[in-house]
Amino acid sequence: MIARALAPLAREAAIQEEFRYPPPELGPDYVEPATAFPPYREILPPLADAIVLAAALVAAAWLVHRRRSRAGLLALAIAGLVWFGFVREGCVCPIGSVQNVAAALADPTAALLPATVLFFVLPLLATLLWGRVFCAAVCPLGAIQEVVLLRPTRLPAWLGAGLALLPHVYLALAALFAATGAGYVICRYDPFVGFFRLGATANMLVVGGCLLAIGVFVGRPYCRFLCPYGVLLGWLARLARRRVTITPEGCAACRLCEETCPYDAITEPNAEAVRARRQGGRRALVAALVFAPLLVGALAWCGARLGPTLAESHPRVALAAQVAAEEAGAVRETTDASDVFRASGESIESLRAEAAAKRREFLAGGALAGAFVGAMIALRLVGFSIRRTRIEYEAHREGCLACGRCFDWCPVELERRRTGIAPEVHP
Amino acid sequence: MTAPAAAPAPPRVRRQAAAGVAAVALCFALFAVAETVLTWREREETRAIDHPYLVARRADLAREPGSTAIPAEIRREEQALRARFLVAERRLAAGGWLLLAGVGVFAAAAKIALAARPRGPVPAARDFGWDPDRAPSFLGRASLAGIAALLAGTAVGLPLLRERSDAVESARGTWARFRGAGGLGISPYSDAPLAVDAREGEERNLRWKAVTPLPGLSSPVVWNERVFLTGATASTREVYCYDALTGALLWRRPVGAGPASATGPESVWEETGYAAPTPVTDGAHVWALFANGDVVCLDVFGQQRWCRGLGVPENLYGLAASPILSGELLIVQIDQEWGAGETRSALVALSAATGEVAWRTPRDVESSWPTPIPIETPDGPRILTCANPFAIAYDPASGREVWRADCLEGDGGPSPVFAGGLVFVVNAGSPLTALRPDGEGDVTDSHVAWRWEEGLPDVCSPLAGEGLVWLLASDGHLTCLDDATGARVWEHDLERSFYSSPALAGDRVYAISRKGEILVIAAAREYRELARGHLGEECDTSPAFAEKRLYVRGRRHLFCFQEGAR
Repeated sequence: MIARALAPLAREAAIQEEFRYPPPELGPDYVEPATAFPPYREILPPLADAIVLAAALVAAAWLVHRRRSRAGLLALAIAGLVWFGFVREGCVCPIGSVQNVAAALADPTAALLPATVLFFVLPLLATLLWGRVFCAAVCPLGAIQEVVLLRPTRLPAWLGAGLALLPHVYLALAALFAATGAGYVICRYDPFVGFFRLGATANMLVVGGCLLAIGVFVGRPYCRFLCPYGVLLGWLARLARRRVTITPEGCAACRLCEETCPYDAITEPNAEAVRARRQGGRRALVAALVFAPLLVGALAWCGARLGPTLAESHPRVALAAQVAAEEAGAVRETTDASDVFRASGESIESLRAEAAAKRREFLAGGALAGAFVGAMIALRLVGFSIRRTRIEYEAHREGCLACGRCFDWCPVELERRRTGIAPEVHP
Repeated sequence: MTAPAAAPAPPRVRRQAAAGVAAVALCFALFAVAETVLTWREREETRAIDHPYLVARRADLAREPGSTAIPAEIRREEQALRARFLVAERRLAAGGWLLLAGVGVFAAAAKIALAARPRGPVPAARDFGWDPDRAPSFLGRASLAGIAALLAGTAVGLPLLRERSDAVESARGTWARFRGAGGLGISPYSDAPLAVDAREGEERNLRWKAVTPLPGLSSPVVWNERVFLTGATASTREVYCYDALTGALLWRRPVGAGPASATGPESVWEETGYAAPTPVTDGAHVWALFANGDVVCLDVFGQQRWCRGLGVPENLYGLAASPILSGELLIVQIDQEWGAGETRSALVALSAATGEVAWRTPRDVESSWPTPIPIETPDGPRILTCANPFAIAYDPASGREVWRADCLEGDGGPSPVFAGGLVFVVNAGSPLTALRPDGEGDVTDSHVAWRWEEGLPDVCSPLAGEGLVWLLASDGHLTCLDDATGARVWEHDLERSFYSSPALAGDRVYAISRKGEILVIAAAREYRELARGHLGEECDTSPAFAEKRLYVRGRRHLFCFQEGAR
């Protein structure tokens, strides 16, 4: 099936090959033939991809909650890697669809295809029902990291707390860039798409290679410390109708699950600690609530200040700057973009006005993005101060990627599988 | 009889077999990496579009456009490169798949080997771990605060770094011709330094000063990071380019002779010299005119593009009118004495690119020294000239005379200016006349808005802006008029001699005396002196402005002033 799927891609590549380079210098008498573009052929219509995605999500949910099979999840993840990664070349993906949605929310006239909406919504819906089953076995970016993870090392708690903020920053920036039309940074800086397409800039291949090298020792660094879609999935996973359980039976408190989890997503029983620290927790909660508005305001101000600088990356703002530099004689060379602009007959004044409007958008958007990051930090501080009592080892609702490793290590689960009867547990 | 089922391999054997496969796959993957890197280099080296050999051969072809061997060689080499490139592309794709296969097999085998390890005993209680629900340690909060501080620092620092980089590195602004844009003597910037002094030990806001190798009365012109100037003696003519930021002399180019280039004049009036016309630049080229009538075009790197001799003008005081650019044309006003009852004066338009004469319009006027200015009128663009006895407007495309006004007498030095919809022309022997710039034919009686007859300049050009017109006479009498009515607003005797035309920067008028004193006067409806400085040497040239900077040429030096320099 894969070979059949790949064949059209190879043909497309061969056809496109001749159009990638400027025509050779064949002399003044040579008449350049009209370029003929073959019609684009889809292997599958986009909606069919969404159906494949939905089926994969259901299969992942079945493997996590009913079959409870780590091997099955790994096989499904590899299938997802092959299909959504190498065959579909990582596009459309739910992670990138965040930008389409942000752009459509900012500009109702922006095109938003039904398939893109489904790619955005289906994993969120699945998470709301079954936890992060998309991360477990469907996402190709997660799968490629899952494959290379060989010697997981636990990060210090303080480092994990800080790094876990980065996906929120990335989400805010990606939404800002998409909403203002500056570009889809998640796609542009996707570290693994170069591997899926067997081609990318050397820089991106090096970044992707480094992430994979880190991923040999640190479980899924992109998913945990960068993925902007993971932020949304994490929120919904907290509300999931059915949460991932290490074992449906009682916990033996053997700590094997905690030892085996490469994502530091197993939380330990804390009943004694909660009772001991209740008073201190209240003080910390009050402090966090008082501090929260200041934090939001301060980071909103920082975001607004950064906005005009970020605006320079917008193509129209950059073009306006280039044209202004050309007009002032500050640069000698024109660019393709400025040549096209001048040939279009559009006035410099209108370009200037558009660039100024974009800068204002970035100013407001930067403030919003900053406020969002500030709110996330404040929520984390509040979260640190609230203690929930746990009487056994549990998979963390937000942090658990439902990889299923703990299923195969839990002695209670193994005994249940062997005998078909839940053993009596005495923690 | 059925064959007995094969027993599964013991874990130790399975682990060792998987480890062996992983090792082999790792070696294979490393080999694929090496092959991919080498192929990638091969592909980059065979890119035909910017291959050094082809670039060099294309340059050869540009020098020898008639060659048939070079194009054939380019085609042959390009075809060979493209073939190698495409092979490298295919090898790169194959190498990528092999690398992926190697990594995949390695990862799978390594996982099997690791999974087959014997499981250890139940772990002991640990003393650290990741627990988002648990009250974090001090380090956890510090980490969060650190990331937040890093973000805030980036948000605040990045724009500051950018602003600083802009301020330090760039030299902005153009003052491309005599008296800047439109020949009006008005700076587009209002941030020129107020207090300036270049005298030894009393320097104020002096960024740099540089020696001018040969004498000349041409004023500096500026295009971002470059300042151009000319200098000449009876036998040598030179163009200079200075670094606008440091004053370093970037190049000094003696001007070669061109077609009809003349060796004269052997002597000129001392106060005019051999390099009085100010050069003009478009940022890519600079054009200069010398006393012998040579017009030269150089690129901004000092390479001479063309040189054309217009002949030594029969002009009592020597050639002083500066060339100007009008579209693709270089306009030169060459006014001379009458010869044998025939005019020898003319307005000449040369192709700025080649120096070829585009048009030449004879002028029935006496010798003159003003620089023409371009003006926009309701009827189209015009080139306005002044000479005894006419102010004449020409169509810049064809050189056709559009209108003339008989309003000038005597030797004409001041250049015209254009402000508030009126053209101002003046001479020591004739009143300041404000003319409406439209019309056709003789507009002497029909287009004069008003006249003013006192304190008239004979060298310094008038200055008009902010609703006012300033007249600076050579004896230092400064008169300020209302530009709409011609009514006197104020007058003041500066008690100094002036040849330098005044300039306006923001709300300040800069006037430089022949002794080198720099007076800064408020551009207001009452006289107010704001500051006074000194070059430390004589000065008969007009100042030039760029962003934050003031450039002045003295007798021996070129000066650059900037607020806060020293």
